[in-house]
Amino acid sequence: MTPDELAARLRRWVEHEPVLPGALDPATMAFCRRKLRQLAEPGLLRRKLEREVTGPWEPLGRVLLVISEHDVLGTVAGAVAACATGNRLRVKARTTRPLVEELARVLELGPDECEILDWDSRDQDDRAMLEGVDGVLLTGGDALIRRYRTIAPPGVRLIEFGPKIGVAAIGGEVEDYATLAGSLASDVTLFGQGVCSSPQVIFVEDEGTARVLRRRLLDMKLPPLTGAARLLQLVRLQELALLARLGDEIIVDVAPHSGWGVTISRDPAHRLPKGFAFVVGPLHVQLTAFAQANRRYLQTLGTWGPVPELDGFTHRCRIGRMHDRPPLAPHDGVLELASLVRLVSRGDGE
Amino acid sequence: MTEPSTAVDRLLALPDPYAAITPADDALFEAAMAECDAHHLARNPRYAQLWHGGERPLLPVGLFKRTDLATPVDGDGMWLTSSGTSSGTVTRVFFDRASMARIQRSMRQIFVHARFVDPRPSNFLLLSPDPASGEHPGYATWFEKLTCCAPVHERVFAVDAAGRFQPELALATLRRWAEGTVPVFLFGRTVFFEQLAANGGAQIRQRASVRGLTGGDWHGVVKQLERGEILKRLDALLRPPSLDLRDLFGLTEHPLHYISCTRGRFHVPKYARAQIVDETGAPAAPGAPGLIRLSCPLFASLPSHDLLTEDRGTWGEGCPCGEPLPYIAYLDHITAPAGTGAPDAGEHART
Repeated sequence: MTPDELAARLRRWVEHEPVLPGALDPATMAFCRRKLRQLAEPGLLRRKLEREVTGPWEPLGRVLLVISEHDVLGTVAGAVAACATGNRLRVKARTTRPLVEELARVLELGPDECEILDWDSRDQDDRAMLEGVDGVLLTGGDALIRRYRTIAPPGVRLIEFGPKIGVAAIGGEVEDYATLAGSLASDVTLFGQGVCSSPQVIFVEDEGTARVLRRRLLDMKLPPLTGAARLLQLVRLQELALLARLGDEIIVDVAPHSGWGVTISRDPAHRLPKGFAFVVGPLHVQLTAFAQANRRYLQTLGTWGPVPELDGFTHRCRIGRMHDRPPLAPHDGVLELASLVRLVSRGDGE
Repeated sequence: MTEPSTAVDRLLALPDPYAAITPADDALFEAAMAECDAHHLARNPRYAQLWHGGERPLLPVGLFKRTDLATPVDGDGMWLTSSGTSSGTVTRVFFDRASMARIQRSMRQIFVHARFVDPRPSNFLLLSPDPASGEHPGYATWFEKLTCCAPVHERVFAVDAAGRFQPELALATLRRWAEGTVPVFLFGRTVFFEQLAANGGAQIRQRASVRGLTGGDWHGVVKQLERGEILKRLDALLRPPSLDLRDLFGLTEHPLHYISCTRGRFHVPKYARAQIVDETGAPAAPGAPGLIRLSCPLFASLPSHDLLTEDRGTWGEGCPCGEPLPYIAYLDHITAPAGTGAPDAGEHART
């Protein structure tokens, strides 16, 4: 199946606005569908493959996909990337199993081209799971990656997309607060602030700017948090409020309707699990310190106004587009399709 | 015998701590809490700073991990370490001798009420590490201390110094004890009970009764078996004349640990109060999930007498076990959701 044929099959599916599994809020559902339509655009997969892989190559063979269970986009993108490079799939899935089955159907993958295994880490037969596998595409936490580094036989290529962190930075004078607040709201609340590109901290030079944004964000209609997330907000809110009584410089609020928090402090640790965590101070100093402390985990740096260049982030963009990495861009500093093939060289005269 | 001099002492001297609470009990409890407030306010300026408008602050358990709030106390005692499930860091809590004596006194009543006290020498299989083998979370010490519920005939720790469960050792020990008539107690982390139950293999029929206490939640490990299934499998594995497996709920920052009733719920004796609070901090309706709030005036070395836990539960009245006190049904420990930062990152999705 060529990349263009693959995209055409994918397009037939995404054009019908498929219902995606998981508790996605309407904005996140719409975003996921848009990204899937983008992935299925005519010619895009072919161009991406041509751009990432030059010279003779062959598929790795069989690729095991182990992708976070709540990661709908990652599951589809991983399967499509493995198929676009001519690999056969083995997918470890439990809650995403219906999605993977649907995907196998629309991509017309036979049972040998797409094996689906049940997700049960405790009783997993590692040898059976990895039998005949040439590569493992992993997205998840540190523990998952450590585990596969231990159990994968030598020679099996591990393509690791581990946990990452997104950061936003606001430099200089802000002229359009309404647009900036809306952009921050979108970046923070999409995917419930649970993906690598979600800004966990917002560095800002000027406290006045943070205060204006705080007011706007607290007044904004945001997708409501539910259940345990709101309870955890309550606990951390209480912690930060009491630390403020002990003299720490913290302003902390939780929007009563949505449950999203807003904090203003001088320490990135003073933030709520879900919220807009403004950290005030000289931008270069704060960003450098944060980047050093989280060196192996940096992913997206969202900017507004003049923000210093920094090493370590693998994607830099405007605030409001932090989840919208261009489809031809590398992922976490890696060419994803290139990682799924074996490049073949030939000697002179061969 | 002299009359107890303080409200806390009078609280501990109540004749039936599991009887229905009367207005007089409530008044005594409030007096004991006020005594506790006064103790900490007089000795702990940082704690005093947390008071606002004369109102006692409700302290979230994570605050003790962020800052030192210990109250200075005279004399010696012992240090315990929390398990680190909140905020990813641990708290070291000092138990002074006076607090420890009060705690032991009330814990004895909790054990007596649960019928977990036995005058006969007993075998203890601990699914927790030996606290003497190194730095371990507080539950290791707790489980070890709970063995005072019966004279120790033999005690085996089936978790090594690195915190790894040794199922072969546990099974071999149970095989060795199977022929005897010495009562058996199993204490330890729920996750290791689950592993023991899942790992069972051939039946190890016990001739003596088996009682067990599980505790400590799954602590980030994916839960594989429901409690009922663990019980069923252990019963099938051990086939004892009687199997009484209960749950233990407690935190290092809270002085008491509670034993579940025969229906798996927790009834808090008169030495303490438990409440469920909703997402706004208000008392939750019966049956509605919320955070467990615990109050207890027994700690002199830590001002945690009004504590907001990170454990979720529901409350209700009229437990089928017949206890007159309201009950708390434990649900789970809430943890930071995915994506809250790389150092505490769990499962991150990508875009």
